Amino acid sequence: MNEQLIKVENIKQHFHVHNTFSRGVVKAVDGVSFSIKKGETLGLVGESGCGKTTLGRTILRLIEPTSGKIFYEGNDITSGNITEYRKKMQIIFQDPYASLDPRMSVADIVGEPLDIHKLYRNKKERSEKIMALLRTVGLNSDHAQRYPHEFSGGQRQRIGIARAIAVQPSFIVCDEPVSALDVSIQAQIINMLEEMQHKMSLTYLFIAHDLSVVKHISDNVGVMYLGSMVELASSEELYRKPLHPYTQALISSIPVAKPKSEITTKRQVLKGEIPSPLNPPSGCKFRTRCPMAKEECAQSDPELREVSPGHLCACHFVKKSV
Amino acid sequence: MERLLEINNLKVSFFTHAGEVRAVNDISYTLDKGEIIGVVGESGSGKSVTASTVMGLVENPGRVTGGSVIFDGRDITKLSSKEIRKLRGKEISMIFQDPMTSLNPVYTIGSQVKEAIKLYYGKTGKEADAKAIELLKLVSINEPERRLKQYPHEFSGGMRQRVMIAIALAGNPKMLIADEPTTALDVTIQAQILEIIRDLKSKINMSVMMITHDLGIVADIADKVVVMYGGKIVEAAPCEEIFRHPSHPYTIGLLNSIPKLDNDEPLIPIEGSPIDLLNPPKGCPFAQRCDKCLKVCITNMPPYTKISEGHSSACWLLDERAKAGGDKV
Repeated sequence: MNEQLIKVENIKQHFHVHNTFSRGVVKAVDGVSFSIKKGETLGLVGESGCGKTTLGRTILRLIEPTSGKIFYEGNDITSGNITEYRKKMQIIFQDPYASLDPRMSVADIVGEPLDIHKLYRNKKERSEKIMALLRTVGLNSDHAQRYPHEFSGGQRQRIGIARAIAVQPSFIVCDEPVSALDVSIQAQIINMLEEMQHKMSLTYLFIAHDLSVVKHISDNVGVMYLGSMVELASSEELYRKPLHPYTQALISSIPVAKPKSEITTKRQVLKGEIPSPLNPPSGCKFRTRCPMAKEECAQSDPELREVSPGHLCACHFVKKSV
Repeated sequence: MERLLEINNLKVSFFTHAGEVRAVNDISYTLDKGEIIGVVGESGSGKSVTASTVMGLVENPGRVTGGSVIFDGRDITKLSSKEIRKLRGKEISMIFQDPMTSLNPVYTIGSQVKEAIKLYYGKTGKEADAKAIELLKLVSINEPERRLKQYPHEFSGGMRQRVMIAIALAGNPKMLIADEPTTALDVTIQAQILEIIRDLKSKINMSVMMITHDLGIVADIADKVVVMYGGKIVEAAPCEEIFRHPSHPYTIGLLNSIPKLDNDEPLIPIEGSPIDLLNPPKGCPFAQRCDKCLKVCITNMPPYTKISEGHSSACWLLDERAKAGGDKV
């Protein structure tokens, strides 16, 4: 189970902006590399605009990358026909209200990927497959002929998940799958995603801005800031020993549902806001908000390097510990 | 401490084509001066409707069908719309979830802040300028003189929310209602906004009603908490208490379903979906999702059981009578 399923090398996604107000290049994803082993989950966290969703979509080639390479089981899939790989790589979207066609019945929504990839011999097999998928996600056959508006947010997300697993993929990009849901429903969906992962040996790229959700579901976690990966480590290690000042601030900013008297760590409130991606700071992009920033941070962009086995960090001040 | 707000047996319904939706169904709580109350619940629990009622903002087809909201000695539900308008901005202010759509894009920040100052503080010209700068400083906006000349698009989400807070404070209100003020913001920005709200309490003794679905925010900022479910308050307690001794199965379920940073225990979700307010159950609103549901829970709404000072919970499991003869479903 230790081989790499997904590998990306120095992937870049640049958007050209040309309008009345501004022109320039937004480097939404600017040279990110990582790999995900079979059956594992890589979590991606970061604030809005850091490029995590763009990265997820670029890997699936829903947007063609500007440069860099994407590998699936060692095969370069950066260019050429992607259709075959669509069966292996799927996505679950954030907003269950916008990602389902309101004019299609649930059966047709879940059945559409089966139609596209011709995964049945006759109508009977198609409807059997759809029913099986609905059962897998905790819905029943009564639901098949209904329309999306008849469902709650949590149930809609289940429909979206059924659609994603219809083609029996091995890799799923989960793009903020629970952030639009109520807390009590979030846990249902998270548990279901974990269960499916074990049963169907799925590999996830789990994108979210909620660190506690990401920590819970991921084996490894990558932290992004303005298009770059600033830290990457096992989920345990990252939360126990965050090295990058941004990760430290991010973790300390999460309000914890605990009595005040039991919280021992001091809150570290970051100053300022994320700079405009059209005009990012020179050198280290985080330096404008970093409490440790010195002159050298403005001059050179720190490289993402291994500071201890399996723990990568991009900061001038983090010393190699081995 | 001095009492500022008292909600007594409040009922608010919306009369729709499909029938009566009982959004708020017999709730009571109080808020003192300089106190922060956290109102927690999921979508449809009635937390925002309660806030709208306090602001006198419930409109057709919605109606207050019972109870009272006593603010500083006056019953808001009995006031005419003219009288309520005098209250808004001067006595009670509100900030909303989405700071992106709350500001007018074609006016400068300064003119929008000063509009509120003119309306609620009754000052124009130089005095208004000075007050606007003071307000922006209060919400920690740097270089207020320059910022006042800018337009909303030059402000980020967090900065716009600060401007909204500044506008809300223009008339020196006694109470601020914050309806999910940080939900649309990133965590690092959320931390900044929460700090500002905490400052308001300590600097100008503001009372705050903080409506949120995030128990973490409540733990961080509130003095006391009410937990709402299906239009009812299921548990009310001082902030520390609710996390130390949660007693309602819904509160416990909510706490168990949040992933924690310091352990990796499996999540225990609350099964089922939220209730249909068009056909609310006769008994406890949480009964059909509760794993400890008794027969009595389905037929009768549980009374509040006092657990300790300021801590009460509406659950039959805590009631002596049900303890004696409660059959499990």
